[in-house]
Amino acid sequence: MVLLSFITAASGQQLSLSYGRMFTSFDYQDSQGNALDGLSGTTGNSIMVAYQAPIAKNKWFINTGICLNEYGAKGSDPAVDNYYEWDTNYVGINVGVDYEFFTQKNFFANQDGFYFYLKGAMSTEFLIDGTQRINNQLYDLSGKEQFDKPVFFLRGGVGANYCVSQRLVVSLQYLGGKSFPVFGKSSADNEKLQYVSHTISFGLVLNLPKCKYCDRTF
Amino acid sequence: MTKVLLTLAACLTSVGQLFAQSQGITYQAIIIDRSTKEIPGVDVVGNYLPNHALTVRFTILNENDNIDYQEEHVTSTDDYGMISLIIGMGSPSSLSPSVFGEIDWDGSPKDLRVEVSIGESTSDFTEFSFQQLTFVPYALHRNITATGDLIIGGKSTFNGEVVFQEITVEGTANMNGILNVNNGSPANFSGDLNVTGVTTLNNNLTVNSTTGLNGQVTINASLPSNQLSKGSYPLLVQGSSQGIAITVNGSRNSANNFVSFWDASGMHGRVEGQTTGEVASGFDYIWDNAIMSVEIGFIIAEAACTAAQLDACEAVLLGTQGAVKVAQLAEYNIDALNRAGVAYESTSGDYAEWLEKADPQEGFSFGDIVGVTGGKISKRLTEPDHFMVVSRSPIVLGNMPPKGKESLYKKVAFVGQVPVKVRGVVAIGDYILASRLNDGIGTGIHPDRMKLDDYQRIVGVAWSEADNQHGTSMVNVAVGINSNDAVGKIKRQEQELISVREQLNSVITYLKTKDPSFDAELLQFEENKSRPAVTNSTDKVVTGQPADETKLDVAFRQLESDPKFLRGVLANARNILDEKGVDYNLYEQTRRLVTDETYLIEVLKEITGASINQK
Repeated sequence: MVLLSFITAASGQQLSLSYGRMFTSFDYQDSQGNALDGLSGTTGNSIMVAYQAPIAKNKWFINTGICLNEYGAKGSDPAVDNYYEWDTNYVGINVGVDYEFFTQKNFFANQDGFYFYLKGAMSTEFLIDGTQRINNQLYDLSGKEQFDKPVFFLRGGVGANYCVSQRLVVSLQYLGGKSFPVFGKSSADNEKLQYVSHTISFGLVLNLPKCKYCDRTF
Repeated sequence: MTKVLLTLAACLTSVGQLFAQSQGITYQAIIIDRSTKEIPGVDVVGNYLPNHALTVRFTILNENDNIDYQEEHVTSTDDYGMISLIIGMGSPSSLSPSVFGEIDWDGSPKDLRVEVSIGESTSDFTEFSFQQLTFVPYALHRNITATGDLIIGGKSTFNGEVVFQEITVEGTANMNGILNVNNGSPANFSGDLNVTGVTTLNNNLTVNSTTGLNGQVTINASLPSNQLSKGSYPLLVQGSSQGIAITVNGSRNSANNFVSFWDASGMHGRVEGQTTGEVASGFDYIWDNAIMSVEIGFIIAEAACTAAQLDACEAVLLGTQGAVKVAQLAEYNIDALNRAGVAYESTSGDYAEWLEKADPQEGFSFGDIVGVTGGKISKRLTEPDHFMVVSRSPIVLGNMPPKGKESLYKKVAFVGQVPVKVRGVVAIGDYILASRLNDGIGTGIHPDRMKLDDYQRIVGVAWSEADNQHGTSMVNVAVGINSNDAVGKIKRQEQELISVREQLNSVITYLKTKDPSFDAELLQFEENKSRPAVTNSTDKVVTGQPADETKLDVAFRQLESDPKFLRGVLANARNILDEKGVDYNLYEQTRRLVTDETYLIEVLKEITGASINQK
């Protein structure tokens, strides 16, 4: 409530919609601590709708939103002629903090120009659907171990905003991160899975009324 | 790491020595790792196990679950988790009672247990296969090709065709179906061949050794009818200097035919046996014995009646005559009994030869009387050497004409009974004379009415009669048995000549008495020449009797004049026959001959003939 009151009091609220391509891979260890060789990453989509508000002298921004991410991996075991492939979709709640560390005046107009920032975020995501292919066999991952629990991510990245107008900002962002380990069915089981993601996204940011984000002078 | 294994495939078996390979059952399997391989999400199970060392143990169990054979293979899977082994080439375990080659495949159920030890310890086996050993499907339902030995202890059933390049059967071979030996292949038997059913041979049969046929043999040969070709005869016996030997069971007798001759209407001739008993019981034998016995009996009776009147020489002579006659009787009996052999009997009655026609164009038919001159026949010969008869069916036929010239010859009867064409009435016993019409037809004449010229025209003696007064008919005539028919006539003429000579001598003597100068040479007559002097022939009398007078002639006169003497002769004859075992009662004629005094006189008249009447 304190945070919400703080945000409400702010004058730079924004809504953003971003879409990006996410390169994901699995970091896996079986119960014996052996890594699964031969895994490689896949590319998926990442969509996020977020609300952002400035805090602390307009250098810090807090944002929260809902994200829809597509994670996957594939691999093979030539020794036994096995082929694996995972394709999952997660929806999650994301909370992050941006720190604007550099601005650049618009060269063509006397308006705000580029705003570069560092971003840190965490999210909790839930599987909405997913499949696993083993050779020619396709399995539903719903309820399967490692996929039956929420996944907690920590991500960090860098991005840049550009004020197209007083109301509209476009952004480009890179965000990389890794989830916390997701264990097997029992805690004694050392089998664990971690997601690794690298996302490059393009976003549109709408400055809500009274938002002075693009009214700043340099 | 403990792993549980699963076998997916499978036994491909080949038992025996295929293509000279070692014995064994090929066995291939893929080793599957049934442990779970952990991956994110759904774990992987059922991976095969590549390049992994393991030990496989095979155990063959019999129907009592006892081990017939057990062996172990130390091997490893290939890149695809596969093992390829041959059951039978492993190392037999200590529990194996025998080696693989000594397993008794007796047809009883057997099981195969397969165990694998995949851990570090080769004794930690896990059973992953236990199955019954069955027929290899390919061997059961498809062709089987084997170059090695095939030993089958039990019953084998072949429902289809079985082809053997070579087969040896050491034991009994029972074939319940047809046995065909095809492609003209020979069938060789080194031992006996027993055939219970009917045997049909559709081609030539060659038997190189002694052949015994215990049943009746019938030869139904379809052959040409050319009687001059050997190929026309169903039975051809050759290859030896001898022909056919025929042996009947037991001793020969008239009930056993060595050969019989048949046609569709029945038997027409036979060659049959003849025993001494049959000879001894024959009419001829008994009759001849009775006649001789009568002669001996007469000698005995004569000796008894005249013993007091005989001088020493006459007694010796009479004794000698009796001994000789007894010896003749014994010789006759021995000879008659020794001649008992075989007899040829036929409905045909004559013995004939082919004689050439004098005129090839002249026609003849059986029963024709033909003249014979120089061995050629004709009905038109005026003074032939002989008169003979064309035969119908001779029992023996000689002088076979050259091939193709049969039409130039005819069968002419020489001896025996033959039908003859006659004209007019003929009585039994009549002579059949060739007519002077040269038409081949004869006439009958009673012997008492025969003239001297008739004798040269005799054909034979009628044994049947004909009563056709105005036409021709056939009578059965005995030919060739009347060569001495003219003898009686000649004898009578000779007797008349002697009588005339004696009368002439008396006349000469009387004339010399009246005229001593009478020269008898003027009459060119050999004075006092009479018939030859008396000889020592045993069948001639020597004193006071004509030289040609036989003992029977003398006996006739004496028997006829002295009934007592006659009864003595008959008694003596019966004693002689009884001593020799001759059964004179078998025939009425022989019984009457030695018991009936009147009949004996008649017989003696018959035997001595007219000569006695002339005396």
